[in-house]
Amino acid sequence: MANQLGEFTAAALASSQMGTLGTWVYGVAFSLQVYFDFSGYSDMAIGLGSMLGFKFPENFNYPFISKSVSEFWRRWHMTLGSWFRDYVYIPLGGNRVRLPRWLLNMLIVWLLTGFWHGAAWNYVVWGLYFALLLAVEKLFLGKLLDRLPAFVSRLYTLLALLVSFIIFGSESLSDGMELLRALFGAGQTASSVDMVYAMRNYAGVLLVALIGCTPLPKYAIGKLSGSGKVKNVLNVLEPAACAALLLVATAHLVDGSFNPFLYFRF
Amino acid sequence: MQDRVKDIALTVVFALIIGVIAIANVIVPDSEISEAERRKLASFPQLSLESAFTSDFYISVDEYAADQFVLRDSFRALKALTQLCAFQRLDNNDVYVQNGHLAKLEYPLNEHAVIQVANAINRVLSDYLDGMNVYYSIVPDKNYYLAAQSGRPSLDYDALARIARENISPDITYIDLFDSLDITCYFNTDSHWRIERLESVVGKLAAGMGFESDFRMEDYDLHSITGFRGVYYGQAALPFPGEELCYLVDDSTRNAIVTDLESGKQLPVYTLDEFDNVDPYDVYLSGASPLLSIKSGDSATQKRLIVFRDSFGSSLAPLLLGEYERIDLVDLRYVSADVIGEYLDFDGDADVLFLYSATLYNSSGILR
Repeated sequence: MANQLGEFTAAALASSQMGTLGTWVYGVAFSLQVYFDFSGYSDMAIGLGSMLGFKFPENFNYPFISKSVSEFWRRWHMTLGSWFRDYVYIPLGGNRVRLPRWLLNMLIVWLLTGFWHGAAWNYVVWGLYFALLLAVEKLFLGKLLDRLPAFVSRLYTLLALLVSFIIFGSESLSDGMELLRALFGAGQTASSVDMVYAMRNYAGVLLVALIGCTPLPKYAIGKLSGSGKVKNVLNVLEPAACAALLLVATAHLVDGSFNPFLYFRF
Repeated sequence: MQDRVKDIALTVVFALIIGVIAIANVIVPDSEISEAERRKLASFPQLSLESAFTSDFYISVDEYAADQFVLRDSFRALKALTQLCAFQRLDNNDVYVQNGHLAKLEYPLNEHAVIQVANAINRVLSDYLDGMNVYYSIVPDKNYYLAAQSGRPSLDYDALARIARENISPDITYIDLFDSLDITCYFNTDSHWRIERLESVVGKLAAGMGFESDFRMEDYDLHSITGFRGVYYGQAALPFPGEELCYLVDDSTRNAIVTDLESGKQLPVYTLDEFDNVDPYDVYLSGASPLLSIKSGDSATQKRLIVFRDSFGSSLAPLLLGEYERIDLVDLRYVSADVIGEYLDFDGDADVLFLYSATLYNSSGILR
């Protein structure tokens, strides 16, 4: 999934004009690409470790259903968050200090988190962005979000995350700013022919990714498993489906070296 | 209990798949070439103390593992079907299906490349073609007929023709072939046109180049070979029926003598043995060759034609043998324009045709 989303994001960046809609779709796709990449290989590590007798903690817990940025960071890259909490935040005093010191603690943790991801200004800005959001949520926004309907809180969270992923994924700060401006309608708003084609071409992939990043499939199977007969069928289907997925994933890897002879075309 | 049985089944299935594939990959010998992709497949990289500490080595191992994976073409087919059916993708590796045809996306227009081709043509004109009647044509690719109607991006053909016109010497006359063809003139699974559908093209060339053409398909004996699957078939990795590859025979082709000017070998106009090789289209004039000279078996005139061409010229040239006593074919993809004078004489009167496909015009640095 991540590789296919990566193909789309590469096509989007290479297109002659993303346009406003294209930039939104790019942002969503990039967020999902990072999620599937990261959570995918975290799951691989957990599975391989399990085969060898090690129990590694889960690293992702459906982060995109979060109702606040604070909740997001309790669901995304949980091992990193725990480490910074245990080895940086708490030794600095955590939130058991006065407000100015607490804000400084947050700033330090998120600057370091930004640097952990890479030594570039966009990661620094990304870290500071989250420091600001988390501070605001802690001070007053969090209580407000708790009182709002879930879909409003989720919408705010997804929007905040989309902006963060665009900053995170940009080659430079100026590229990131340009994308953010395009996101909110500045510059050329129409998408070029190749961008429209890319969105149509990967619409199916995006749809599967959007469903797959939520607990919906898990809930659906859980509900179906309530019935004894269905559970029996699922018990047979699960190994078959896993085998099919393994073969399909292998097929995608094998096709990865597809490289036809240049002159074939003429 | 049932969960335990399911878990055991899952583990066994997983282990079986991994185990069988791993053993098969060890046992099955490596392949040298991929017929589908028409290229050499990667071999295991040289391992040394130095290379083991470089990332290039491991990248090469990755490529080797994918290239030499057992049942590679079947896995590629599985991937293609997953993409097109499960994800409803509009193409797989840029190859798409439209109206029963396979085609490959070509986008965007590389204006610089078009100018490069124009400059290459002009250089040949000034170096060799003084006093000759010189023409050029652009062969539209299948996207011209397929892409727009399905909302796929394609070349800006008007811009391509305009840039070519603006940059190619005005001493070279343009012959427009875009309206002489439609999608049925092309193979379903290949990029090339069908020889038996080129009547309009020959007529257009006749009108443009000033030769009398009473060219009629009925004057030829039509032969066909079944089971042709073109270049896109291998790339698409999708099930597609085989087609007929035709070749046309009359006295001009039957008695023609084709000489490979590089090796000196004599070849037939149609090399039927090539049908069973990697690229069956090589039936026409034995495939890619830098320099060929064809003496017609029965021409209406004693005129000479020089065709600077790509592979499309291979299936067109036999149809012009009724008009020209001698046809010389030059493929500047394989021979530098600087040395062709050592193999061909450019003295005297001749018609010259630069016949290149739109995809060649769009490819940088192709012509030497």
